[in-house]
Amino acid sequence: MEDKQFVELYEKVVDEQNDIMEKTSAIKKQVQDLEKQYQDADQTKKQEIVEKLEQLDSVLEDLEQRSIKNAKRANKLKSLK
Amino acid sequence: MTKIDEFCFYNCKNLKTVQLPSTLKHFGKHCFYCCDNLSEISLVNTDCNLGEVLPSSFSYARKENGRFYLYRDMCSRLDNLIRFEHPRLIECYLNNWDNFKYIQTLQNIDSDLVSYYGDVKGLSSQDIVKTILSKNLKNYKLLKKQLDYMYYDAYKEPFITLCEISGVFETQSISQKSNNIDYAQKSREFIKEKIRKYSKKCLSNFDFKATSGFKKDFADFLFKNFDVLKDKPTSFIKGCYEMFEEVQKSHTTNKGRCRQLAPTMEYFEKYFDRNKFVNVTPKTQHISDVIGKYYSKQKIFDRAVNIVNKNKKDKIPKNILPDDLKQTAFSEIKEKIQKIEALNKNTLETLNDIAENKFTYEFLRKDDVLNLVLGKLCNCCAHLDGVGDGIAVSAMINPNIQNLVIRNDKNEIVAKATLYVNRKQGYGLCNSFQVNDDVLHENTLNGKTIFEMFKKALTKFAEQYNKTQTRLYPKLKIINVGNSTFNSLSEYVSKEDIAEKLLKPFNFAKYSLIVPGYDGDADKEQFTIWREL
Repeated sequence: MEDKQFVELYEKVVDEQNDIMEKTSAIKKQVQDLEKQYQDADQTKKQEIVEKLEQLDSVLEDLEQRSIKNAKRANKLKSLK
Repeated sequence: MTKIDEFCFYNCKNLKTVQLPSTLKHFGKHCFYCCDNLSEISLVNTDCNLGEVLPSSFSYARKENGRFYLYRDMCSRLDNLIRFEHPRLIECYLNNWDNFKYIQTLQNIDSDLVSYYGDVKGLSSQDIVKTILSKNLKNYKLLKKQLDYMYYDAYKEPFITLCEISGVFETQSISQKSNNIDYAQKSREFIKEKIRKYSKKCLSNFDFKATSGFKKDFADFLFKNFDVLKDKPTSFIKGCYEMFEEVQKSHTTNKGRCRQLAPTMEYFEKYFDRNKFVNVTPKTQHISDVIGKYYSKQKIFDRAVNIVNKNKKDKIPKNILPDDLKQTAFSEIKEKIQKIEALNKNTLETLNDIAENKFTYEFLRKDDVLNLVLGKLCNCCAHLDGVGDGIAVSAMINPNIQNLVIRNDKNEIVAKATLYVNRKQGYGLCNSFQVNDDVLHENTLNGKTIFEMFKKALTKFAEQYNKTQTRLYPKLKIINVGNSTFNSLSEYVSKEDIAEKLLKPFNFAKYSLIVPGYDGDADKEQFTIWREL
C-alpha cells in the first residue's frame, strides 16, 4: 500500500472512531439523566422514560456494529502495514 | 604436557578459554589466579587431583558479567570442593544438581545464584533457594540436613519437605538457636504431625513419584501457597489435590491443549465457590452458578438438575409467545455502552500500534550534510549557526561520533541524538535526545514512542558493534544518555537507571567556533539506556 493511501485510510478510521466515541458518551450522559429522573417520576413519566431508553438501545446497537466494523478495519490496516 | 606450574597463567587478562589435555597430572596452585576473562575450562579424562587445588587456582578468576563454566566431567571430580570459597565456583558446582547434597556453606550463596537452578525432582528449586535465603538460616549444618532430606525425600514426600523448608517450624517452640543435630529431624516430625492433623487421607493420597506433569505442578502450587493453604480447611487442600488437573485445564486457555499453567490460589477459590456441589458437569454448570449463590445443600442442587432435565426432555418452549418480550433495563444499556467503550479502546490501541510504526531510526551517514542542520529540524542548537555547532561538526569529522536520527512516516527527520563511542574504555554516550516540538505536540504518545525507538536503535547499535568489534578494543558495556533540561524526552529518560558513575563526556566544544565553551548536556546527569547483560 502506498503511504498516502495508508494515511488516508488511517485518518478515516480515526475519524470514525472519534465519532463513535462522541455519540456513545452523549448517550451515556442521557442515560445518567434518565436514571435520575426515573427515581422521582410518576407512573406515566416512568413509562416515557422506559420508551426513551428503548430508542437509545437501538442507537447503541447501531453504534456497536459500527465500532466492531471499525475495529476490524483497524486490524486489517495493521496487517497491511 | 603433564603439569601446570604455580602461578603459571597468573594475571593473564586475555585468557578466555582453556582446554586441558588428558595427560595433565599436576595442577599448580593459583595457576589461573586473577584471570579476569577466563570463562570456560574444559577438561577431558584427567587423573589429576583437582579437589584441593581448584579453589585457590581460580580465586578471582571471573568473568565480569558472564558465568564461570566448568564441564560436567570436571564437576564430578570436585567432590572435595565442599567448602567453597568462591561464589562462582559454587554456581558451576551447583549447576550440576547431583552435587547439591554436598553444600555445606551458605554465606556464599547470593541471590544471583537463584537463576542458576533448573528444576529439581519435581520441586521448583528456585523457590526453595529463595525461601532458604529469606529465612536467613545461618547454621549451615541445619541447612545441609534439610537439603539432604529434600534431596532424598523429594520423590516421596515433598509436601512435608516443603513445609519444613518454608519454615513453618520456626514459629514453634523448638529453639532456633539449638545446634542439636536432631533439630531438623525433630522439626520434620513436628511438621509431619501438623500436616497429618489437617488430613491423613490427604497425605496418603499424595503420590509425588512423577517428576513432571501435574504432580510436579501441584507440588509447586502447594509450596507457593503454603502460607495461605495451611489456614484453609482440610477439605480445601484435598479439593485442590483432587481437582488440580481439572482446574488447571480450565485455567489454561484452549482447554489445556496449550501450555499448562499452574492455577493460582484465587482461581481455586473461585472454582470452589462455583463448584459447591458434587457432579457438576459442564452441562449443569449454569445451574450450579445460580443455585450456588443461595443454597449449599446437594439435595437442592440435584432437584434443580432434575427439573431442568425434565424441561429439556419434554421440549418445553421458551415462551408462551413466539418471541421474548421485555423492556430494556438501565443495566442492559449500561452494559452495551461499556461494550462499545471497550471496543473503542481496542480499536484505539490497534491504531496506536500503527502510529508507533510511523517512526524509523537511522544512523545518519557521517558524510551526509544533513548532519550540520539537524538542530534546525529538531529544535535544538546543534546546527552550524547554533550554540551546539561543535556537536554538529563533530558528527562529520570525528570517527567516534555519529548522529542517530528518527524519521517519521513522511521520511522527515524529527528527532536526533549524537552518539559518542569511547572505543578504548568500551562505553557509549548520547549527548541528549532532541525531538522536534511539533511532533511532540501533534500526539502526546509520540514522545514515548520516539524514546522507545531511540532505545531500540541504541540496543541494536551495541549488538552490532560488539559483533564486529576487533580484538584491539574492548566491547561496549554501557550506553548512557545525558539528561539536562534541554533533553526533549527528559521525563522518559529519568525513568531509566541513573548511571552509577559519571563517565567523562567527550569534549564537543573543541570543534566549536561560535561558543567554544558549550560541551553538550551529558556532563550533568546521566541515565543508562543500554547495558550489557
